[in-house]
Amino acid sequence: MNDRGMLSVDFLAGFTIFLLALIMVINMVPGIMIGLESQNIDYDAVAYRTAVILVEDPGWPSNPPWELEDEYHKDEIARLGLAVSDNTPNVLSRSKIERFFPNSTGSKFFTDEEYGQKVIFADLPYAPYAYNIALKIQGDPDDYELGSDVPERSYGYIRRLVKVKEPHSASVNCNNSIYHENDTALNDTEITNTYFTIVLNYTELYDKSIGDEYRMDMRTEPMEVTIHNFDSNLNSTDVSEVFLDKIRFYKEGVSGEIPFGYDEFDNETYEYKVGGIPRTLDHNSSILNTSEIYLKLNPPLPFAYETDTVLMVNMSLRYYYKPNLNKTMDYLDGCVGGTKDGTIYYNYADPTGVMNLPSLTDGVLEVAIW
Amino acid sequence: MVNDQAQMYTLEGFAAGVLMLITAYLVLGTTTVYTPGDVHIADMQLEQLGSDALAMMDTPNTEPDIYGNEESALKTFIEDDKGDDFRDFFLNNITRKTGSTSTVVNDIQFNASVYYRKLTPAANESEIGSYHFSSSTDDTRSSLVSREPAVRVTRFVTIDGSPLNHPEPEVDSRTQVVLLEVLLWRG
Repeated sequence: MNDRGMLSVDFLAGFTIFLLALIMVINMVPGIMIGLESQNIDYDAVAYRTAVILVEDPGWPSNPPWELEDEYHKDEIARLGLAVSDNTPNVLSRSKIERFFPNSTGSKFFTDEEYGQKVIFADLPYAPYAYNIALKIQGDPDDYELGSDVPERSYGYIRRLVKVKEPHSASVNCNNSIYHENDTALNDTEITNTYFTIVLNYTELYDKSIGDEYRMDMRTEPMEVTIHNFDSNLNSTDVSEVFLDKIRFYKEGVSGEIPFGYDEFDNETYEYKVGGIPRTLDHNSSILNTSEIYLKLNPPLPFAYETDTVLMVNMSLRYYYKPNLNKTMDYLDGCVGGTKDGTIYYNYADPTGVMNLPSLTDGVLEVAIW
Repeated sequence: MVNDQAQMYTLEGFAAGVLMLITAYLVLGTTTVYTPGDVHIADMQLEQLGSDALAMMDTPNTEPDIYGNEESALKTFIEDDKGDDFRDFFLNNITRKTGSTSTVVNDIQFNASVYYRKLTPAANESEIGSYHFSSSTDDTRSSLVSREPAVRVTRFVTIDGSPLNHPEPEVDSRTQVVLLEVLLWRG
């Protein structure tokens, strides 16, 4: 045996360990590079996530809902979802849509940064995403659109089919005889104590057997009543003047009117128009030549959170007649329990046939992120 | 002075051993699974679209208990066996888009079947039966063939009796839940 072709064991062992370590390090290099790969997959995921938040989530806070927060409490909004409730994925609320998207003049309630934080959940300021969120509702002339124009190059994309819950309202035609009362006391020249009442029974409205997508929820949705053809139903040869003195709110079982800013001009809580002219609820209007009376109470309505309350909205009317022996004293009467009982029951059963109940309209929402 | 102590006698053997180790390590470490990176995303988009479409077709526009006659379109299509109406409605729904994107590929094909529980299955037969309900082209066989991978969306639909063209004893005449399965692919 001679020394040729021999190697020291120390050298071999050292060399082997070195080689193994080298191989391991080389193997790890692709792992280090993963973060530098193309971001395409990421964009699709962000688009998907954004659409899920918009379509399946009502946002936060949800009760009272975020769309009721004003300019000064915007910071309390954590998440912008458009769904009517947790139980109704893909059914969007019209009032949330209107708050979320820019209005027809292009002005926005939220800043770009807020959209990034509350719906896109971008990792600001490191990864700001460009986005385009568009919603088309069948029957609407224009699309709702938010963000930049969609680029020609590749972008993350998702499309969701939705339905939009349309608001409810009541439309009263005064020519309908169920609202009329005749008086035979021919010597009288005035009826000063008649009124139109709108009754909102929250127990009926919050009926649990009716799904959130069809429910009239006075905590989050406005009440809207329009009275049409008021002047044309008046007997002009006999009536000399009619006044709508005031509108007052009452709670069943409680005497006296509910404290409320009746004399304040406040578009946040109500809209009241007599013949198209905005008025306060205290305004004494002559309505002899007025065709349309419009009242919208914005949410939440008084006592909307007390589910056993019955709220009554009273419009006080005063009629004056010409001193003529053969006249007919015909007047509107919507007193609760009156002989004609032309009260407007704002509920699902709709005994007087005036309600436009909530209905759903088809729509499509597209989210593009790049 | 080098002597025989603590020496390797066959360097070749040792070198070969190391070589085999390295080879095995490399082979195990570089196993590649061939998946085109974003196929699952297109699948996810199509699946979401399909299941949204079925869900929306199953949601009446007004409260059914109040209006009585307003029912889910999906339920009516299955009960009355209106496969053609289903096709028009479904394609119309899934191809809807806004004006913001113009480059989206919107050519979608589908094939739909209804699965039901058999009333009196033969002794060694499955309890579940099915029939072809609707597809995007008239020829049911050709529509089953697609080059693109298909995704499957399903929805349980409650119907009030047997579908029109599938009366008892094929499908039970009681109120029941059937499974509507739609295979979707970009064509």
